[in-house]
Amino acid sequence: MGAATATWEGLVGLDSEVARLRRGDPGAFDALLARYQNRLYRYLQRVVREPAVAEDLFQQTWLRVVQNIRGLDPGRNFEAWLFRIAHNLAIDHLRRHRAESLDEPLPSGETTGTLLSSPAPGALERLLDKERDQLLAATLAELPAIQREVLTLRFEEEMKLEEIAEVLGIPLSTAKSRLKRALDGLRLKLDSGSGAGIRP
Amino acid sequence: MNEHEEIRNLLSLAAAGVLEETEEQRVAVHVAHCPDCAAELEGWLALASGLRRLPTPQAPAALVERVRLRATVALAAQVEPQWNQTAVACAVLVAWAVALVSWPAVRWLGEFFVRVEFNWWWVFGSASLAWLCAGLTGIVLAVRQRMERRTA
Repeated sequence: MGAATATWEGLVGLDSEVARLRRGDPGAFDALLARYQNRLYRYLQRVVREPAVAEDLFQQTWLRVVQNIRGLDPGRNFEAWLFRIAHNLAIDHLRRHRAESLDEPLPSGETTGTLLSSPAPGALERLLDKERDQLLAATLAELPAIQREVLTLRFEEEMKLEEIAEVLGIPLSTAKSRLKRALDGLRLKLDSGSGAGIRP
Repeated sequence: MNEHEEIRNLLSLAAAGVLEETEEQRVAVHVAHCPDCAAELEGWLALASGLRRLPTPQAPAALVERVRLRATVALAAQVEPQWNQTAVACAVLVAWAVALVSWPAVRWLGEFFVRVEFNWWWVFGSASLAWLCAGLTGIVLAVRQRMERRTA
């Protein structure tokens, strides 16, 4: 009940902030920035992986928000719109810098595999939660950008499939199959590395 | 594909929480009687849990401040053209009002001091003066706005 009330209040607050920003209120921008700064930065860093690029895209995203907020349909989900802007900028960047393919896995380095397949006795026991998180993050970073993106939207941003489809501009069925392929790819990498992966 | 394989194919999405209700029920019924799939689902759930608790990189404070400042300037730049339009409209109205009032005022004053002959040249001259004032106001505002954008 408390959580539901907090969520409802959060949504009302968000609507109010978006309406105020539409009228050009800098205070509303500050509130929205505070609300989404870490989530948006995390999303961009997961997709482009380089902190400097993520910072640049973070700035561009917010400036586009300011430029285009008056064109935002009042019935549209602000959060999905915000991440859609960031998605477009990130994809444009990745297309311009073809060092990383959008669709094909990167040539993976040895780090994760080596760490995961350590033959030392008791290696699994020594994998503390933090270490496992780091390994998982490293393995996630080896996935293609579009798979990293769908995973971060679902599990870190906790978006529903419909919202993910809206952010990515793809049909619901495509979002679902992309999520499945991403999970399968991640699991495959983890299993091929250690045989135990992230399993408990 | 038999039922077991079909359900196994759904386990990753079940752990991600994106299955439809009917699919979720099918998975739940099958997993309750299939230890292999139950173990597999455990693995997927652990992976999903790991993804949910990945550390969140924090946006650097300097970056956030930079964005805030640039956005404030951009917002002001959006609001200013509206204000400028209002200012120009007011300047035109004031100029017209002054022009309109000046005609009878000059005629009235002329009764007491110097006789001024009222004609259409007077109307044309004062109207041109009013438009000139409004135009100059607009140019000054536009130049100022351009200079502010350059320095922002």
